[in-house]
Amino acid sequence: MLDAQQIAFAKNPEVFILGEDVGDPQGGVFGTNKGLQTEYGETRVRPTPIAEQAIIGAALGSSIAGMSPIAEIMFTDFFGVCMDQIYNHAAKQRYMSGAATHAPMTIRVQAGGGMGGFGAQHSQSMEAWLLHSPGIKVVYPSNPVDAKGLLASCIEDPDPCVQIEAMILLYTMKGEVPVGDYKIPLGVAKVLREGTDITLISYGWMVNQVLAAAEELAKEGISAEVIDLRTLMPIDYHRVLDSVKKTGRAMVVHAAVEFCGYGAEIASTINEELWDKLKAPATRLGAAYAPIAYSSAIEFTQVPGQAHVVTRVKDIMKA
Amino acid sequence: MAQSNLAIEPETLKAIYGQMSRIRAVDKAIQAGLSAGKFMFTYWPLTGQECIPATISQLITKDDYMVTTYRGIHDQVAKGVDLYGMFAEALGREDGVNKGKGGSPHISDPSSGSMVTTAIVGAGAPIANGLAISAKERGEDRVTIVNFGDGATSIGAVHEAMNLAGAWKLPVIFMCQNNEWGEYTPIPKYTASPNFYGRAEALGFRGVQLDGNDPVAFYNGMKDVIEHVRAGKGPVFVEAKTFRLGPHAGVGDNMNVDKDYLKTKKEQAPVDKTRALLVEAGICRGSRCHRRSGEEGSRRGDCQGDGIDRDPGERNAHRRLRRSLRRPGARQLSVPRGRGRTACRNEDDVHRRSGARRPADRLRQKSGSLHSG
Repeated sequence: MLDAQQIAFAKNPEVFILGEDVGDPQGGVFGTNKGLQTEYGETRVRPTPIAEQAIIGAALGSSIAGMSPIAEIMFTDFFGVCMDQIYNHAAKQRYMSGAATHAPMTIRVQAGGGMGGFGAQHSQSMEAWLLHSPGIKVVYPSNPVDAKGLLASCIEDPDPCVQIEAMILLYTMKGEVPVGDYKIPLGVAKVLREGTDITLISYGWMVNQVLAAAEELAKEGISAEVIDLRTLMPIDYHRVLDSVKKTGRAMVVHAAVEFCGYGAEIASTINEELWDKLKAPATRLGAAYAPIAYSSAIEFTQVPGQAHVVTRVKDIMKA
Repeated sequence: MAQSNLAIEPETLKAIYGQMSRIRAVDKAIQAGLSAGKFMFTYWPLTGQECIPATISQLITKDDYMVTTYRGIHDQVAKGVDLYGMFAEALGREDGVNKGKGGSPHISDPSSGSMVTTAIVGAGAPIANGLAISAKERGEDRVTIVNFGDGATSIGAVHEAMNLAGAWKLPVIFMCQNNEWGEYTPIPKYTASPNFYGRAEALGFRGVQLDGNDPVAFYNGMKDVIEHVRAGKGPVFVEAKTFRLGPHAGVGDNMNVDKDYLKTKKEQAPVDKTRALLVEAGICRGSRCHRRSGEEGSRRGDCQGDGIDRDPGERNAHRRLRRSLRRPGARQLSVPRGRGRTACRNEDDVHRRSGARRPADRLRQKSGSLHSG
């Protein structure tokens, strides 16, 4: 992500970062901007007051004037204090103005969860809020390569984009990324593992739990196809439906609360579109309907993990 | 002319009055049409607050950015938004300035510098900061003016935006049109700290209180403020004292106010007062000038079903709106010229005689370009 930002900074002098603690020496609370302020100065990397409405508003206004800001919100849990600027203003500006103005801005936000110990206000997955607000594009990478490629596309997109970055991946996953101006187009999902019995659809850090589950299932003779959505909006229904046509079964897995979650929406569409081709109803697996517990022992039971996925898939196969 | 004691150029005062008149004409036309049931949309009247944007219009250009609220028709008119496009927008029509998708509470017209109009109280202030950042980073001398009411001073977004603007010395003006009412709640009921401009000082930047109903004092105060901001000396919070004569939404009077108080406030309202000042100072001759406001001796008539009244002083603004309605495909706004040489006979006269750039001319020049988006 640092790489994507560095390239964007070099390409376009009107790209700038603003957010809490984004400057050097720390380069953001997760260090994802390290060195950028030193190289480009305080007007390109702007540490802000702890004021999320001011951050998103400043990004939005400058983008309406034609700049390409990257606003950083520390945790998705903090959307609550700036949602008005996101869903009422950034998301709607192009539509409400009849395209007289638009907002080419990017929001980078970290999502907690899956690690334990961060509590109910730093561990949530709030992507459904964004997805329920027409006008915002949302990406949620599951690995460093996608994080770079999707972020680069977001920065150059003419409309507001949110990249959700999983804290657990920032801490645990390292990998080589392509050098240079590498972009992954928005709205293109990726089949990470081919299979014939069931399609498992996921995104973000949960993808890695699902891949591990697929490995486990293979040992028991169940062949699972795994799709990483990468972009949640616009969603790549083409790849999803094609896969389910082949397997006849589908389950969406996410870390967000299952009730009224994105999985329900996708499963519903699959059921409507492929009703006569399904061997079992498409379904979804998400977190229990409860705030995330501070205790990791509780959190790991309330948010899906590898074992939950395996159990549910076996149930579906029996049906 | 005998206006030598005025602390303002007579031409400037005439131009301010010209803009006030346009605003008044639009306000009256909308209220008349709504009252008569000729059309229907939600309207948040600005009656009584005309002087603020009318005066500012003489100190800024279309290159300066503006952000305003749903109670912002006066701001839009003075900023130079196409009247045709604005009215069609309010009616939700495709030929509106925003294709009927935004409506009057969401006008966005970059060609006139009216960038964002929000229907969320206080939400424009953080966005205005962003517009100001772009001007500052690009080395432009634009100022950004964000309008909101006194009611918005209570919401967090305004505080956050003021704090950031102060910290970053942004070229933004927080224009608080203090009309004494936060929707249906008066100031003493919602704050123990009614000196709003003092809040800017608490955040480390300049705050001023001005009489927003006095064009001369307001012009001179704002001239200083705008020069300060344009020169890169940081933001200014302006508390412009005025009064909302109408209700929060709808038409007619502000019924929450004591009748005697409302009467006093009507007497202090800027349009008639400014006209009287022009006459008194000898800038305009009385009889013709007096006919402008249309409160007394006006002729009213039903104009082809649009409910727009025909006061002579406001004829031209009405005519533009009326023609807009009749000819949905027409983009050229027709403004009759040379209707008489008498001082201040009508709005066009004010502009012609003052030598000011007439808003109608600007509109004509850019008309037809709004659908490119």
